[in-house]
Amino acid sequence: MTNDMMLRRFSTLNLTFTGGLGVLGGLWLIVSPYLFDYNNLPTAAKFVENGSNATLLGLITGIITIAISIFLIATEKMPQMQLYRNIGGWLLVVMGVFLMAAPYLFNYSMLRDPLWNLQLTGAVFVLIAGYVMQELTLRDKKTS
Amino acid sequence: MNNATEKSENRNRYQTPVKEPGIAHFLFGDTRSAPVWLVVRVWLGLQWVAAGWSHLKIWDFNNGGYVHNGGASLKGYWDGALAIAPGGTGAKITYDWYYDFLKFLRDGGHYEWFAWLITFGEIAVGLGLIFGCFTAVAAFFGTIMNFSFELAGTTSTNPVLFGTAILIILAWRTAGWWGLDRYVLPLVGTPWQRGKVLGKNKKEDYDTGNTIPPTGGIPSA
Repeated sequence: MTNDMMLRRFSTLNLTFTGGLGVLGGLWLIVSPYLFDYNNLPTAAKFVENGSNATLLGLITGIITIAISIFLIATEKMPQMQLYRNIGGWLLVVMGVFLMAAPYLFNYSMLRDPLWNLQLTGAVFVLIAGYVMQELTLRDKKTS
Repeated sequence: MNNATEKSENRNRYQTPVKEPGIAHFLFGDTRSAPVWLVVRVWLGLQWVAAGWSHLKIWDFNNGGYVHNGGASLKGYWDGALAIAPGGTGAKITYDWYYDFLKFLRDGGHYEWFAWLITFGEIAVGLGLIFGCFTAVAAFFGTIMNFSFELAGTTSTNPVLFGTAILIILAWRTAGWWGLDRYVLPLVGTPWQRGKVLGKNKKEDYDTGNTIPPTGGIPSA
C-alpha cells in the first residue's frame, strides 16, 4: 500500500468522528474497571488500594473524555467554535498520553490489568485523535 | 561539476534497484507518522523512568535501590552474575571478556559510582524518550543498557525494550517530531547537515540541503 493510499483511507476521519469514538472510549474507561474487577485483583492485599485508585481514575478520565467528545460532536456545525474544537481534539491527545503514564504516576504499574488497559486505551486515543489533529493542522496550513 | 551535483549523481548511481515500501517511507521519513512514534516513545520512556526511579529510592532505607547503601544492591546483582564462570553449569554470563569486565568493576569497588550512572542513565534515557529530546541518542543509550543487562544474564523485558529502541533509532527523523526534537534538531543540526546554532549558515547551504532550514522541513529547490 502506498503512502497516499494509506492517507486516503484515513481521510474520512474528522473531529466529529473522533468525538464519537471519544464517547465510546470514555464509556470504556468508566466501565472497564468493573469488567476487570480492579478491586478484586489476584494480588497482595497492599495493592487493593491501588486497584480502587485505578477505578476512580477511570471514572474521572472517562467523564472528562465524554464531556470533551460531546462538545466536539455538538459543535460540528458551529464554525465560530473551530478554535475550541481544535483545542478539544488536542486535549484528547494529551488525555491519551496521560492515560499511558497514569499507572506509573499513581503507583499501580504492578497491577497487570489496569496497566495494560490504560496504556492500550491511551495509545488508541493518541493514535486516532493525534492523526485527525495532524491532518486538520496540515489542511489548515494548506488553505491559509 | 560541483560537489552537490557529484554527490547527487553518486547517490543515484549506487542506489539499490529494490524500492523502499510505502510503509517504510511513512514510518521513517514522513512526519505524519509522528503520532505512532509518540505512543512508542512514551511507552518505552515510561519503562526507563520507572526502572530508574525504582533504582533511585534513596529515601527508602529498608528497600533501597541500586544507589542505596553505597551500591550494595548493584554489587549483589553483580555477585549473582559472577557466581559461576562462563562455561560452568548454570553460568549466567556466556562471554569471558564480559565476565572479566564485570569482575574488574566489582573487585575494584566501582559499583558505588556505577549504581548512580545506571540510575541516572535510565532516568535520562526515559525523559529523553518521553519528551522527544535527542530521541535517537536516548534510544541508543537505552540499547547499550539493554545489551549490558542481557550480557550479564538478565533477560526480563530487555529484548522487547531493545527491539523497540532499534525501531526508534531507525525513525530518528520522525520519532521526535511531536517532541522537542522538532525544534532542537534544526538548531543543533547533524555532522552532515549544519544547524542554526552550530556552524555558520550560508545561502548556498540551504540550496544544497546542507543546512536544515529554520522551519525544520525539507529545503526548497
